[in-house]
Parts: sequence; structure tokens; C-alpha cells
Amino acid sequence: MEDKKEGTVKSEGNNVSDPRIIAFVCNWCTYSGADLAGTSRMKYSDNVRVIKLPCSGRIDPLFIIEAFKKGAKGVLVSGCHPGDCHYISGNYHSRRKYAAFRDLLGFLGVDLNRIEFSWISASEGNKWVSVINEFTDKIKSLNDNSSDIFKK
Amino acid sequence: MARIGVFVCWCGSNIAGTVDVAKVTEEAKKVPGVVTAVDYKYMCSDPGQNSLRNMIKEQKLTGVVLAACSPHMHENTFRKAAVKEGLNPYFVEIANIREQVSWVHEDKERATQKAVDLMKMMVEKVKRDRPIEDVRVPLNKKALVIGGGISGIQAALDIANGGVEVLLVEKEPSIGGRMIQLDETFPTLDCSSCIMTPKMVEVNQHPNIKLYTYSEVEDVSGYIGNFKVKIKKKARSVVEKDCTGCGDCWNACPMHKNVKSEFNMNLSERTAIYVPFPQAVPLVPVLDRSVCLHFKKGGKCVKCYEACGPKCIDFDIKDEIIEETVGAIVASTGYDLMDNSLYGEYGYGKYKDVVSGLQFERLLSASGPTEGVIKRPSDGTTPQTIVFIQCVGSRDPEKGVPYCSKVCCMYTAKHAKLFAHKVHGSQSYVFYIDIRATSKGYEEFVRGTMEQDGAVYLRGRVSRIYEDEGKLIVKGADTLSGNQVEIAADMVVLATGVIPKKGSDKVAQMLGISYDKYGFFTESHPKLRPAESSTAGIYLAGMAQGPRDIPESVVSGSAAASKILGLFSKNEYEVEGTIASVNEATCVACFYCQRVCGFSAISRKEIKDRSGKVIKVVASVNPGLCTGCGACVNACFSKSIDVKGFMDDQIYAEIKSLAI
Amino acid sequence: MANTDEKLQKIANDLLESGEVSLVIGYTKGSNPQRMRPAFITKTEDAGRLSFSRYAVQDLAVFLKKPEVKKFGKIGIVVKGCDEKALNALIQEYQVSRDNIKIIGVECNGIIRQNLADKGETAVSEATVYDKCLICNEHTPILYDYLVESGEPKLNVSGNIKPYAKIEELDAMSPEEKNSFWEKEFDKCIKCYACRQACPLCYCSRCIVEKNMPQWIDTNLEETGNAQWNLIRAYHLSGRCIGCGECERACPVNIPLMMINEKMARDTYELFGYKSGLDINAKPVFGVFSESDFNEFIK
Repeated sequence: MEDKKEGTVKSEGNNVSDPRIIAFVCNWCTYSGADLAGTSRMKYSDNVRVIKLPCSGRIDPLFIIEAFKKGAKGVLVSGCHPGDCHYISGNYHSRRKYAAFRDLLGFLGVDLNRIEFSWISASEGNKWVSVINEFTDKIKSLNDNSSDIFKK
Repeated sequence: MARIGVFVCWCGSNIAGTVDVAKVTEEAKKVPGVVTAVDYKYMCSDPGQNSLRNMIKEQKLTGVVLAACSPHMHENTFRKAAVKEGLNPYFVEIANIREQVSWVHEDKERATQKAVDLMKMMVEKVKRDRPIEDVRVPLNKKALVIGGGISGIQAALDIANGGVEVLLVEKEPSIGGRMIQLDETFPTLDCSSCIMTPKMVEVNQHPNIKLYTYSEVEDVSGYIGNFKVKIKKKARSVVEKDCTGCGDCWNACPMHKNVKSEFNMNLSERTAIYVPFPQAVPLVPVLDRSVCLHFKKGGKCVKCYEACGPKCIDFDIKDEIIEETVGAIVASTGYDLMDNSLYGEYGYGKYKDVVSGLQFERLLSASGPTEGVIKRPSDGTTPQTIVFIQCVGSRDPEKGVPYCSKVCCMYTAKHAKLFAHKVHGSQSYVFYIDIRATSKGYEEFVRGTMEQDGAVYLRGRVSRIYEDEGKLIVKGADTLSGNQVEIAADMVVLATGVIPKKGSDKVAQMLGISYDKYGFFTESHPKLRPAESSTAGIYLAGMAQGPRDIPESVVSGSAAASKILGLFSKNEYEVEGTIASVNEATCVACFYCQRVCGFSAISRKEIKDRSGKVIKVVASVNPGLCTGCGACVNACFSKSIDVKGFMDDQIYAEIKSLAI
Repeated sequence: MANTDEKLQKIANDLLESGEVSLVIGYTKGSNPQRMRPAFITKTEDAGRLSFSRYAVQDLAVFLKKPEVKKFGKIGIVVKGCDEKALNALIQEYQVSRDNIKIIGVECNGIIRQNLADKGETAVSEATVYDKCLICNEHTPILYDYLVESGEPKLNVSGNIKPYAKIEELDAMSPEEKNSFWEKEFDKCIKCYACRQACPLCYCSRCIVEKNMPQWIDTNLEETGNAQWNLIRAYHLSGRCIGCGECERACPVNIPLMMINEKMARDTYELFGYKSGLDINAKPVFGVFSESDFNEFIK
């Protein structure tokens, strides 16, 4: 019942010229940084969709896999700068995991250009804008025979 | 069955100018589970909130999504409105179509599409929301203050005057901290002990304050409202209740040489049994067993015991551990000075007449080693020329610390002023980098030192100090005139940088609060929560947070106290219910969750059968400590722990809603 | 060898007789002389069945996660150096209590690859043992209560054979090439989860693949789910796998799982200086962090 009308509206194409990008961000730093970009009326690429989590420590590699599986061309993970974590050490723990997980993805043939990690503080609205724009441009520049382990 | 309402806000033209709100509303109606969708000019206005409330009531909504501004703006507003209609506040979700859409994108069609995506995403999330009840933690209305300097004393007095019991724990034999070592205080030149001792006495006599001096907090466990603390009362060797503070014991002690007085910054000697200073509170001596002949020579010397009238000296007293339960803690552990020997070129430690700022305070003090007459430590003569050097260690990332120690500009000006007052016809020189005199009356005070008291201020650094025929030759630069300067001084006073009290990092680890790379405790928020530590129920005060002067320390002590009194004004502490919970059926007790938890919120729980036999061990979340960060969920291989409000199935549904 | 077997049998006999343990897990000779199989000894009169040889390929630590084994409480277990690392990791992760386990370590000088042994190979040499034996630093177990020396000659490693050589080959490939390599491999996966069952460190009572709220891993037989399963399995073992190779040996379709495991073991050592299973008092690599951890990949 719930899923009967899944995805009725689609104006975006799923190709690298107009890629879907999913960003997993922490509530305290990056989400607030993105808010600041908004209140400052900075303009940036509209390909990104933000999913808010309490902390980058909550951003599980499973989410990244799932996002790729659901067709995202790029996945961004962003949290507080080292030392700034609202929860003291969440970003330190996740940094360790991401470092290994990223290696694993690369070894299994995922183009690492499609996954980006950043630390963006609540005062770095401009950094949010540049990270999103640069990442979007990078994805657009990739060649689109996107056969990877998540897609057939 | 989910009955979701979607409310699309125009925010005037802020959203509606870039996003086709009607289209978002139409699309919302097509989403399964959505029973109503409306758009409105200003959802946050009273009529907007009323329409939300009416719709919840009329349509029997089980959840609402507001496609509006950032949740950081109005999530609480809408949650409160929903609660009034009996909806659990966590059934309110916000799709941020202003900060993340209308304000940052220009193409209306694509912005609308993005707004639709975000709205749908939050509909999927709200469908999977569960009611979350905030957790109530009972409060033990008793406070612990660690550190009996001015900020700790202020905190203890304010809390006690608010009718709450306080334990004040001080490591040294007397309370008073650094402030009681000072002579007169800037900018008003009140005598420090004159304004401090009444407060110390008040602490000692206050019916709500239990004072533990010569004691240390050894262990803290638990959480806000319910901290279990262990206080080690070190063996004083004197029965406090019987002691009259008469002094017969220390007068009888044969160890009156060779033991440096810590209170006088090593400028005088003390006995083995001693009070650090005459106004000590409590006025009960401590027997320093590391130097006492009784302990060093197998019990032979008993002179103090013999001299003691009430016979309150007891060589057999042992360290005592006191266990208490408190609801809140103030960490006010204070500061030390940096090690001057880092600056070999200034000759500290090599030349007796090169002293630190705190040593000079003791030389100025009427209760100090020279009874307030300024004398050179080397020969006891009165100096006629003193050179003061500021920023020794401070603002020096190379050798010292990069931060400003904040109080040195002012106390140097005070030193120069008091020197001029006490030694007529004398001359002082002050080497400085900048003068920072920013509080009430400070600038005028420094001006006075320069203009009325004739101190010569030289902007520049000292390169070298050496001794020549009884004089200290100070070579430095005056960068304003561009000249090299050489001054033959009788004494040099170093305005040494401030660092956290030795061992404060251990205190922070014990309390589970965060500290910066220097060891200063960090605030929960540097601007908006300056009195709170990163851990609920633990508050900060004084120089343990960073350099500050006396009024600021007093304010911070009062701030911590008012936070605690506010906390204790209720019987229970409410914690947001968005915390982790364990699926005990599938937990295999690997305790990775415990390893990554920054708040010690995970403990082991034994599940027993009827006979009391342990059949399983699982992880268990302490609701008073959990902050809901979710690091444990990431660490759990079998996903046997999840965090309310951001459950795995919700995130999954959000990602799925974005499938393309 | 007879000497080794006698020693093992005596230790097991004594442990059972004194009641120090109620079960000894070890090896016994199979019906095929060039195969060993696990033995579960609960009575002293059965202790004589215990044996050890260059064919003792199984990592017996895997049995410690089984409820039917756990119920014995105090257990003695025969382990090679590699298998013993699994014990250490299990102790680190609170799955085994050091107090409840008697470790009967045997010196091992290499295990002959089973496929070669089945063809009649009897000699232990660089060319006949597993890759893990060529990189092994723990021929003598790190931790043990009893040590049974091996009478066998030392394994000579000349370095002419490069263990796990395919890893470097793959590292040098483009993402597309790597992808096509793994696509073929994962294509074969039938999601039987034998890799998981054979792994001593896959001890969850409910594996994430069995979780369906939400279903993070597709369990249908299409390639996305295959890749996902293999990826997540490897991720969950990163920094934990001790390299016993049982997953790969168990795989009925011969996916080179040890390539992934070994790659991750090398990377976690390179990034964080951590090797799994060496020290029961060490903190697992993904349970701690350092402020100076590798940060270069983050903007």
C-alpha cells in the first residue's frame, strides 16, 4: 500500500550530466553550515539532497552503499571538524571507519571520485557551497558507463 | 494506519518566490499515507500554527511534515503546537525547503522538484516515527565543587545560600586558591585577603557547606542527578575537631629550615607541621609526612605532640575515603604558572632576583616572607629599579603558548604601581607587546601607572639578562624608538603565562568532560553555554576554563551555581528521549558500542533466569548519559542498537524515497 | 608425529580427568589419511583419538560461537598459531572468557592446501602450503596454556612465491577493470553464507543479512545483493579478520575472499598500525581512534 506510487515525479535524469547526489550530514556543524549558506543566499548546484543525522558518527557505511544502490551518482558525507564534534568523538570514530571503508570500495572497483568526505563547520557556508559545486562538477566530468558493483 | 498532513509554507516570497508551493502541495497529496496537504503564507504565524492544530484535530493526523524553513528555526515551534493537540512532538518533521532550496537555487522548476523530493523524504520519515517520551531522571539535590579558589568558593556559597547542600573539596590544606596569595587587586587596590577571608570564613561556617580540605576527588561515576563520588581525605595527622589552631605544634617543630613554603612560592621556609598562611581556613595544621622527622626517623620525634595542649596530633590517622552521591558538579580546579626555566635567557632559577609575578605578590604581601617590605631575595636589600617583562610564555607559540594570559598586563601595572608607592624614588620599566586593559577602570589604571607612578613602558622584547656587579643587566629592544635598551636593574619580575592546574587533564578524564589541547576545560558552547561542560550536570568555573581575572572568575562561579540551582528547582531532570536502545534478543555483547560511546552511556547488563543464573549478557543504555549521537549504531554489526528519532528504517526509507 | 599426538592426548586426558574442562576440541584422523576432521572429546577414553598433522586445515575456534559448544562451559581447544589469533580476537571482543578456555597450542609449519593433499601431495613446501602459511609469523601460537612442539622440519620460505600476489595486480588496475574482475566473482555467489558460517569471528546471533527492518542487503539472487553481501561481510571483518582463510575454503564457488580480507588487513595495518588477534589486551582498531588519524581523504 505504502509504496504504490513510488517515484511519480521525475524531471531529473539519472545520468552524469544531471546527477543525483545524496549528502549525509551531521546536525550540528554541516547542516548548520548549509543553513548559513541559505541565510547568506549563496547559490549552488541543485543536484544535492541532504539527509540529516545527529552526528557523523551515526553515518553508517551502509547508508553510502544504499544511496549508490538507489541510483545516486555521488555520495557526500560531512560532519564537524576534528575536535569540534558536538558529541566529542563521533567524527573521530567515523573517520577511522570511512578510511577503511573507502579503501574497500576502491578495491572492489567503485570509482572513488563518486564519494566525498568533508568537515564543514556551522560557520563555513562558503565551504559547503564550494564542496557541493566542486563535487557536482567532478561527477559530471566522469564517464558515464557506470557499471559498478551496485548496479547492473 | 498513517494519516499524515503536509503543510507547505510560502514564507512570504522567501519560499514561494522560487518554489511552486502549489505544485509541492499537489505532489504531497499523491504520496501514500498523506491525507491532507495545504500551503500557507506563514506557517510559523499564529494563524499558521492554528491551521496546523485544527488539521491535526479534524483530520486525526498521526504525523505532520512542514515543508518550510530549517528545523533549526521552527522545529520547536511546530512541535509545541502539535503537542497542544495531543500529538507526540516527535511526529513533527521538517522538510527544509528554504535554506536548502529557495534561498540557494534559482531555477524554479528544478527548485520545486527538489522541494518535492525533500517533502516526500520527510513523509517517509514521519511515517516511521515512533512516539518518544522524554526521560525523567531523579535528582539528588546535593552539589560537589572541586577546587576551593575564588570561583569555587563563590559557586559553593551561592549554591549553599540557595538552600542546597554543597561539598567543597580542596586539594591544599586551606581554601583560598591563588587569590589569597595575591596582595592588592587591580584596578581598585583592595587588599585581596581583606575581601577574601570573610568569604573563606563564611564557607567554613555555612550550615549547607561540608568542607573537605587536604582532600581530592578520586573517582566519579554516574550521571546528572546521580553522580557517585569518592573523596580521598588525606591523612592530616591532626584531629580537626579538637584543634584550636593555637600554633604550639608548629612552633615546636624542629623542621623549620629546608622545607620551602609552597604558599610563599618558595621564598620562605615552613615547618613539617604547618598552616600555609595565618588566615588559613580551616585553621588546622597539616603534618607533611614526607619531611616530618617522626615519619623519617622511625617515630623518635614527638615534639609537636608534646607541645599540643588538646593532644589532637595523631600520627596513626590514615587516608580516608568518603563516598557521596551528588546531583551536580562544579569543576573549578584553577591554574598554574608556566615553567619560567623555558626562558633560559631571563635567568630564572639562576639569578635569585629574577622572580615570577606570583613571587612578587608574596614580596608585596603583608603576610608574605618580608612582611610586605619589598626586598631582594638575594641579599634582602630594597630594590630601586625593577624591570617587568610581560608575555613570558604567553602569545609565544614557539616556546610557550599561543594564547594571551589576560591578567598579566593588569597585574604588571599593579606591581609597578605598588612598587612606586612602597619605595619612593624608585623606577620601574615594563617591557610589553601590547597593553590589554579592556574591563571597567582598567585602561585608567594602566594610564595611572604610567603617568602618575612614572613607570616607563617599553614596547619590545628582552633578549637577555645577566648579572654584573650585583645588578641585573637587562638588554632589550624598544621597538617604538627603534633603539636597543640596556637597563641595570635590581630585580626582574616575569609576567609568566597561565596554564591549567597540573593534573586537570586527569580530573577532566575522571569527570568525562572535554578539554582543549592545553588542558583547559571546554564549554558545551563557547558563547551560549559558557558555564556548562560537555557532560550534563557538570559545570565549569574559574581559570580552569582559561585565563580570566577575579571578577570574571566570580561571575563564572555564580553562573555555575545558578545553573545548578535552576536544575535543582525541579525534582526531576528531563532528558530528550532521542536516545539509543538495545535489542536484547539479538545483542551478542561484543561491546563495540561501549568502546565508541563518548559518554560512558553503555554498560553491561546481565539477564538472569528465575534461579538467578546469568543466561545472557547484553549492552544496556543509561538514559541519563546517552546523548543520542548514534555512534553505537554505526559500531553495531548486527544492528542490535538503534537511536530513537534517527532509526535505521527511517534513514533507509529516506534514501529509498530519493531513488532515481 | 606420533609424539605430538601422544602429547595432545595426554593433555586432553588430564584436563578432562581433573575436570578442568568438560570438552576438548581437537583434530582426529579422517577416513582419508590426508584429511583431518574436528573431534569433540568429552570422555577421557576418547582422548586417544586426538591427532595433529600437516593436513589440519580447519580453524577450530569457529566452534566456540556455537550454542551447543558454549554450553560445555570450560573448554580445551587445540589451535595452530593462526587459529589462536582468532581466540585472541574473540577474547578481545568478550565472546570468550580467558578463564573458561584452555589453549592447547601446537607448533605448525604449514598446512598443505587441501586440493593438493586430495591429489596425494604429502610434502610441506613453499609450493604446497596456503598463502597464509607463507606470511605467517605465528608458527608458535602467541598465547597458550600448553604447547605441543612439532617434530616437523621448518617451512623454508625463499620468497620466490609471492603470497596473495593478485592483490597488487588488482591495486594497479583502473576502477573499471577492478569492477569487471569482481563482477565476475560476485556473479558466482549463491548467498549460501558458508563464508559466514566458517568464520570464527562472524558470531552475531542475527546476521545483518537476516535483518529486514530495514533490509540493508538484498537477499534475492541478483548481483547487487551479491556485491553488497560480500562488501559488508568484508567491511565487518576489516581490522578483525585474522586470516585463517576458512571463508575462502568454505566457499563452494571459489570466490577469492582472502584477497579482500588480506587487502583490508594490510590497509588497516598501514593506516592504523594494527594487526588483529595479536594481543588480548589490545583495543580493537575500530573501537578506538587517534586525533592524528589519516585525514587526507577528507576535504
